Parts: sequence; structure tokens; C-alpha cells
Amino acid sequence: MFRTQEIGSIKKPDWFVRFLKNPKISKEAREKARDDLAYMNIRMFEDVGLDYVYDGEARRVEMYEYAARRMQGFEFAGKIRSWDNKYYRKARCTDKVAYLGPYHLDELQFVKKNSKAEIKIPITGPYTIMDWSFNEHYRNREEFLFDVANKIIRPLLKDLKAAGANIIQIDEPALTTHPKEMKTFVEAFNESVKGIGCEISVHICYSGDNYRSLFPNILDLKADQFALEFANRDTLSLGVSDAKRVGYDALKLFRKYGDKRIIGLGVLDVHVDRIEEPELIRDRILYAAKTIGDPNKIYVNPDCGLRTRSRDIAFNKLTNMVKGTQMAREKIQS
Amino acid sequence: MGELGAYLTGIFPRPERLIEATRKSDPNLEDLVEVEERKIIKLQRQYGLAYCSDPLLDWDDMLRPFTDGLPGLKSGPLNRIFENNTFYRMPLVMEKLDGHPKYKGSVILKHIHTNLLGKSRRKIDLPDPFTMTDLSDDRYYGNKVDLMFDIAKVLSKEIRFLVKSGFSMIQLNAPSIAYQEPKGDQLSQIGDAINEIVKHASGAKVYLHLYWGDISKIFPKLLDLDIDGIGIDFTRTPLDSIKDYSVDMGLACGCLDAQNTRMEDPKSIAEFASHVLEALSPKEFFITNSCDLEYIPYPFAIRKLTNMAKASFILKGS
Repeated sequence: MFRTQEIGSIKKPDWFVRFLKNPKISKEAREKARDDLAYMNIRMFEDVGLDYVYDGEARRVEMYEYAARRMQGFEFAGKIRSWDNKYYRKARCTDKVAYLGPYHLDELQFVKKNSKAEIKIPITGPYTIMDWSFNEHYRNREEFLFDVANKIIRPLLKDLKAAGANIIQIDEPALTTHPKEMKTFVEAFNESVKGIGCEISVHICYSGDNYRSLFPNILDLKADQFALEFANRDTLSLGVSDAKRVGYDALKLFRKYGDKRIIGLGVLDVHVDRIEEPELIRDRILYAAKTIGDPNKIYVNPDCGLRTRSRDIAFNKLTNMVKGTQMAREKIQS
Repeated sequence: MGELGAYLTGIFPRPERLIEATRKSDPNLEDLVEVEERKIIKLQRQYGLAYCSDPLLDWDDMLRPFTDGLPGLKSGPLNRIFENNTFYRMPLVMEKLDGHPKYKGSVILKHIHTNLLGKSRRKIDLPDPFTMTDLSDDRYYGNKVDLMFDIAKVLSKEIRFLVKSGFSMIQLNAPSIAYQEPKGDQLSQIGDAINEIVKHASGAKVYLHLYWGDISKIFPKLLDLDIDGIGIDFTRTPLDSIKDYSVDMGLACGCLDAQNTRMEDPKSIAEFASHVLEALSPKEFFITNSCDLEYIPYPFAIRKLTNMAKASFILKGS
């Protein structure tokens, strides 16, 4: 009950970033540094007591750029503002996309070798790859999306499964930005995961309409778990009433539509340094269990990757997440 | 037919070295902003654009000067800008805005490099009152209509200062109107709020620029507004859907896609622009970008600006 997991990335230490930027550092030394950071992240997640772990995306510069640089058909155009002085690199799709091989295989093999807990590998989903790129090649977004889903994500999933991945989290933060495209997304996503034979989780976050646009199309999505962001919208007051847990209102949609799949419950706001108390986390989980009606359908995680927080803040947040989860388990079992 | 030309819309992207400088809190940041702004202003002049705009390289989003400087507003959480992977700080409305004792007027002017604009005809982009209301979190008024009218009053005061400082083109950017397609009473109220602004903008033209939505359904109503011109994002509104209307005002033809790096050919821009001119017969006509160019990287924005100017020359020649 209430299995705990991370969502994706952890902040890279300054020494690591400086080290990799140094042109004098050899390829072997860089690879060793990446291994070391991945090892540190795995140990941190396991020490905290998470049930599912990965490497904190230690080898990935950023979720979109890392993936797009390893696909055929993309050329990087330059930086686009995310907010204020924060920018990300955006690519142009200038040719038909093609798969160049399993770009997460090295990290998966490393995590398998170095972790004791169950492994959940995050990958960037087809819709986000399409939406975050400039389309200069395809006639329309739909054609572009289906090609990314079928020609890149599907073979990647197959290769990761063959390499021993049993749980794959497909990150789709762009999904709710274009509500009118939800049906097309579901069709493309389903084509990419069809017959893969893994447990599939889909991570969606920062929905402008509190996930309303997911429904009803999302009911047809071939996924086993929805890992979602909630804490960002919630109050900091203790309690399990609707008023105290206003951030978790969208759970009622899952109940209303009778969707009984697992909810990965975001209980940590990843954009603030405040460390949520275990009691607050406990109440968020208990509210979710009450709303969904089955505690076994709730997993517990941060809202999103913790990469914008310092490592000690991330550690303290995750530690309290595990404590709060244990308190919720005890409450349910008492 | 009145004037024929081109102008820039919205925030221009920062060049790479300015991005780096903002990330490192460079002590020479202000100087660097000026250097980079001069380059873009010089290009606008060199290309003979009808109006010259501050590229707003130091604005973090279109509402930020208000969010940070207007008494009664507070900076709120990050929120997605419509369907983009770009976020803005949501203004939190904490007190009555119009008539606030601390409001001295001229919040915007402090954020524009008027000294760099020289003697060119000056243009400024501001949010329209409905969009600013829509993108804010109202914690005081309890009624969005009252908030919108107070924002319109504040904008009117700001515009008076801008006109005094030589701005002769005020562009109200209205993505929320285009995106939401308001109807009936709501559209009338929006019209009243915009008319309130126009009333106080004597000495300048007021254009309403609508982007990120197809405006064909509300187009006839928009033509009833007391504005000097309307801007249309032709990447979202098909010309065919509005071609039967006569536009008895100015028209800004937003036909350069500011959200895609794919380059429009100047000849095809001019060709499309001439179709628009022929179909809608506006009083004056400007080619422009569909929305802020900050959604594409700097080198691509420069190329689009160049192509816009070339298209304008071709159009004038024809």
C-alpha cells in the first residue's frame, strides 16, 4: 500500500556541471563522473527508502534536449525562454524522424547493476517531443506526433523492455496545453505502447485546467498509472476535508469516470524550498485514498522532478515523504 | 488607401550573450541590454519600418512591468502562457488599482528605452484590459468586469504618459479575446473597456492585435470597436473565413509565424498580403509577425524581421 517513487530528475551538483564544462576533461573521465553521480542518486533514493528508484537522470542534460539530440530528423535551433531568465534549447524537425538506437540503455544497465530496489525508468513521451519542437517538415502536428510515437518511442520501449525494464514512466508535461488534441494524443500514445508488455506510467503535470481536459479521452489510454502533480495547488493546512485538500480536487474526476488505475500522487511541491511536514503528506495521502476509495490504488511521489531544488532540500523533502507515507499506512491499518 | 508598411509586434528574443548575462547577473547587464536593443532598433530604422518599437529585451513577460510596478498588484505563481511551454508570473490583484494612493502613473515608461528610439515614429505593445484581467488572479474585486474596467482606466493613464513621450501607435495585445472568443454581453463589455482607452489616447492610434485563436466568429463585432486598426494572426485565422467583410479601419497582417522557425519567403508574404488587402480593403495596412518573436531563437527572429521588411518593399512596389 502507498508505494513510494521519484518522478525523474535531481539537481546536478555544481562540481559535476563545472567538471563536464571543462574541455580538458577526457571522455572516460566524464563517463566516470556520470556513473558516480548516478550511483550517488540511486543510493540517495534507496537510503531515503523509496520503493521505486532510478538514477535521477544523472546523464541527461534536460528531458527534451537529451532525447531530441539522439533522434534523426532534428536540428537544434537555439534557446527559448521557459520563464524569466530560464531557457531551454529547442530543436527544429527538418526531416522525417528516425530511431538511432536505444538512447537510455546505458543508464538502465547501470541502474540495474547498482540498485536493490525496483526500477522505474522515465522517458520523454511522443507528444512532448512533438510539441516542444518546431515543425518544419511535417504537414501537420498529427502526422509529426504519429511518426515520433511509432518510429522513435515504440522501438525505444521495445529495446528497453528487452534490456529488462519492467516499469516505464512516459513523461508528457506538454499534454494538457492543447486540450483539443487529447484524442489524437491517446491514439498516438496507444500505438507506441501497444503490446510492449511493461507496466506503463504516464506523468502529466502543471495542467492549466486541473486535468479536466484529460477526460473522457484519457479513459482509453493504455497506461497502468497516472503520476500527477497536485501539491503545487494545495493548501498547507492539515486535514482531510475537501476545503483543506483543494489541490487534490481533480481526483474526483477519476472517481466520477470510474477510472480505477493507479494514481501516482504528487505530495511535494517541487518549486518551493519549504519542506512539507510528514503530517501534511499523510493527510494528502489519506484524502486521496478516501476520494479514490481504494488505498492500494495510490502511489506516492513528488509533483515532478526535483531538479530545481538543492540536493539537501530534495533529500529532506523525500525523507518526509517516506515518513508521511508510513504514517498514512499506519492510520489506514489502525 | 492610406499607409502601407510593416512593424514589429511584441517582445523580441534575447540574443545568446544576453541570455547568458541574465543568468549570471552580469554587473554590466544594463549596458548590454542597451547595446543589443540598439542593434534591433537600428535594423527597424534601416529597413524603413513604419513604426519603431523597443524590443523589450529586459521584460520577463508582457505583464511584468505591471506585476512588479503597479500598486495593488503582487507577483504570483508561474503560470503557462496559453498553449506555450513558456510561463509568466501571474499578477495577484490585492487592492483597488485605479485611484490607488501610491499610483503616480507612468509605470510602463520606466521600462522603455525611449532614449534609443530617437526621432522614429514610436510604437508600444501593451496588454488589452480583458487579457490582463484574464491572466490575473483577482483577490480584491470579486468581479472580473469591475477589475477589467479599472485596468482599462490604469492603461488609459499609462497611455497618456506614453503619448506625451512621443508614442503614436499603441498596440493592445489581446490573445485572451482571440483564444476565448467571448460572446454577447461579455464582448460588449470588452468593447466598452477598450473604447475607454481609445477615448484617452488622443494623438495616437490604437490597434487591437488578436493572436493565438481563430477570430472569424467574432470578427464582425470586433469591426464595430472604436479602434484605429485591428491586428490578425493569420496563422490561426484563415483569410477565407473573413474575406467577405470590409475593414473600415487599419489592418495589421500577422502573417509571419512567430512560433515556428520555418522561414517565410518575402515574395510569398507579399503575395499573401496583397490577397488580404484586396479582400478586406483596409484604410491602412501593415505586415507584422503573428505574435511576440520571443518564441523563436534570436537568429531566426532577425531573419523574420528582414523578410518582413523585404516583403513590405515588394508589396509597396507592386
